Amino acid sequence: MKNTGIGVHGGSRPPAARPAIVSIIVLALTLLGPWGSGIEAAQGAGCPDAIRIGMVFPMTGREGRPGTYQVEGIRLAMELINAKGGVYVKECGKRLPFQEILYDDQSDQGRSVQLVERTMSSDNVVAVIGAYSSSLGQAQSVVPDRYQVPWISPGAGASPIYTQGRKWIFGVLAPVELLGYTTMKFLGSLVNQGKLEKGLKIAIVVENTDHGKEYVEGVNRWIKENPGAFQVVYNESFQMGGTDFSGILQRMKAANADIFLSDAHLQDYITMHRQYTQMGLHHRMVSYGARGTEEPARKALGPAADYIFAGIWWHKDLPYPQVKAFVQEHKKKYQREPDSYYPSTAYDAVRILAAAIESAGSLDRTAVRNGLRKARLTDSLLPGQVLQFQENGQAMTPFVIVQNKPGDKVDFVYPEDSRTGEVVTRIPR
Amino acid sequence: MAAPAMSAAPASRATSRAAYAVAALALLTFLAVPLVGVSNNAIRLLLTTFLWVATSLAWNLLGGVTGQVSFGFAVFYGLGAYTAGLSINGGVNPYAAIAAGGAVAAFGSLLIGLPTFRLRGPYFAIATIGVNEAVRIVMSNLDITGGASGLRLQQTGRFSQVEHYYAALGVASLAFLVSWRVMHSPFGLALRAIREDQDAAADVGVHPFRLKLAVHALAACLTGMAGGAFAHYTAYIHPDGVFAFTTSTSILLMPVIGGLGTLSGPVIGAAVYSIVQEEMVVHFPQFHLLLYGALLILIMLFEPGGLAGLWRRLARGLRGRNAAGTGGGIAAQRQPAGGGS
Repeated sequence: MKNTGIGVHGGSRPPAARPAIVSIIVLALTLLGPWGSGIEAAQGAGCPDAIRIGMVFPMTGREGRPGTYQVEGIRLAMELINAKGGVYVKECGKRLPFQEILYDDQSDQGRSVQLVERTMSSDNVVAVIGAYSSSLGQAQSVVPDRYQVPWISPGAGASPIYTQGRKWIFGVLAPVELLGYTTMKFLGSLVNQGKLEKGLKIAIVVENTDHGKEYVEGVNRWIKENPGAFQVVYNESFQMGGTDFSGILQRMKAANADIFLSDAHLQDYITMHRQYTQMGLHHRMVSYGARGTEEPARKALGPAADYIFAGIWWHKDLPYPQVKAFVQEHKKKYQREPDSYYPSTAYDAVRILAAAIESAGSLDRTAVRNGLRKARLTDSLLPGQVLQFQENGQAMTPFVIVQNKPGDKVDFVYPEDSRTGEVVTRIPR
Repeated sequence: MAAPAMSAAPASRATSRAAYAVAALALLTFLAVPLVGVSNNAIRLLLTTFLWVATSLAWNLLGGVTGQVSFGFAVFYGLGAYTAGLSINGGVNPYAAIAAGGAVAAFGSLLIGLPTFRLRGPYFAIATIGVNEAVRIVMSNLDITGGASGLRLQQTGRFSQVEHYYAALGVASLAFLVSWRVMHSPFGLALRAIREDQDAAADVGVHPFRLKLAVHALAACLTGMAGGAFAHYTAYIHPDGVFAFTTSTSILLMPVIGGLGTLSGPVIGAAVYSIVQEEMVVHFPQFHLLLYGALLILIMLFEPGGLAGLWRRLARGLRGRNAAGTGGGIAAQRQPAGGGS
């Protein structure tokens, strides 16, 4: 090999190249400016003009869409709180508005950690709201205890994040295990009502992450508690972010199951269900865990997304006045209604943080952390209307089950007392 | 920094002495940084930079000095990270775990090198891409490593950023010393001969296959140690992070930006890369890759010698101006561009 081909040797340059080279140096030096500069300057004694909140979300990349929705929820909450003068901070004797410091982690775990560290160590924030998706949440959740900055995730639901004994992390999403358990509880209720026969065969295909594993744990826990109700005939996992699920779907077909349960993130759900439809697969009931109702998926899949049921953390049709107000405000600000749970949990993350700061009466991070531990949001948007954190920092709100219906309609089908439509237990071919 | 071993002119020796002095001063400065109350953010940026410096210098041994362009160094970074992570979780001392990461990565490099070094040029490069992706997918599905859920490292004791800073500085310093030693040894000379013309090198008694394997292992070891130090620091690693193809390209880009085949180039490239990259991500999240690509194209178009080459040209220009009419400029122009500056 003669050389690397990338250009080991400089050779002679035409004189015209010099200004460009000087430009590169100037650009580099300009960008080097913030290195170690005064960005970490302490806020100083007394009260600041605003409550600085770090935000690290995926706004581009694979999780860009849900991440952006979450940021929209946060901004809406901050805007509404700021419109009322902000959060009352007792030690300052006045209301202070929220101020966001937003970073896009581009759905990259390494970058996510890097940016959370940056905001916690140099932006003088009171708290950080961060991480859509459990995998990004796993990465970010290491940092808060190191810098002793409260961290709230509105989009990371995998329990292992919250079971490491960390003291500074909080999560608005109920555990994914509960999602799997609730899904089975719903199916079990259909057996009790005679809408499904006992002993139906279930195929499970989940992403090979903590999210997927936990979903299966929930399913298995219910099956163990209710022997004979269903039997799992196929259980496999797939690589997240895949482009071809035909192999796994083909093997699932051979298992001849009646019900297909999956746990997938939005992109994987769309890709997998498109291939599912193209392969002509059919089951009596189909679920992709918490995914199903999202507008991008319904647009991409069309009628193929009808009758998919999902266990979700929130839906815009929940019959609470605060949900109606939220949907209206969302529509006013973004010219569309929220099509998924993403903005709602982010919205509530800001509200519970505001409540914690008010109860702490201080912007001291430890006081705010302690305030979050005790905080109880009694007009939460989430099912049950009460948001509070358990001992480990994770919320435990109930799931509701919804089912897509033709014409982009969505019905609540479980629990019974919130039902808005009849459940379809045999998807039409 | 140091002139190549082939040119033994007194002027070059003087340059080398000056370079050693600069390196020693830089090391002392970096050792003192945490003691003078520098911000946590600056420490973090330096820490990250040191890890990139180590990987950049390591890749340069294979890609810059030996001329074998590998797109698969994330494999060694990831192997080092996972080995260290699993060892730490198994109760091994973190620094021994980092060393173990280097050893496992070196062993992995032999397994990869044995078949891939049968290939040359672009075929070798493409093979390394394939290996990188294959290893990432395997690691995403191995239960022992946590699979696609990633690996959480058990943390004992209170977190000390300064401790991690010194660990990263140690790995970077080791990479610098090893690179310096290689580039000023007959081994380094043989590697350069392979880069210039592998067949001709073989004709004069150099054994390209063995030497490529050896330098590959050396580079992998250093990269693995950097990966181990990274895992120890972040306490959570994931196959899509440490084994990502973007990690491989980052490792490759830094010496290209700084100057291939030199000692200072990869260091400069790593420093510029880590800081510029973070600032671009923060200030231009939608366009940072575009801007970064444009910057890279400019460097490759106008200064293929990288930033180190640019520095040499500027220094040469200044010397030429000062020594106008004395012939000094001509002497300076005769210095080889790809030497061990």
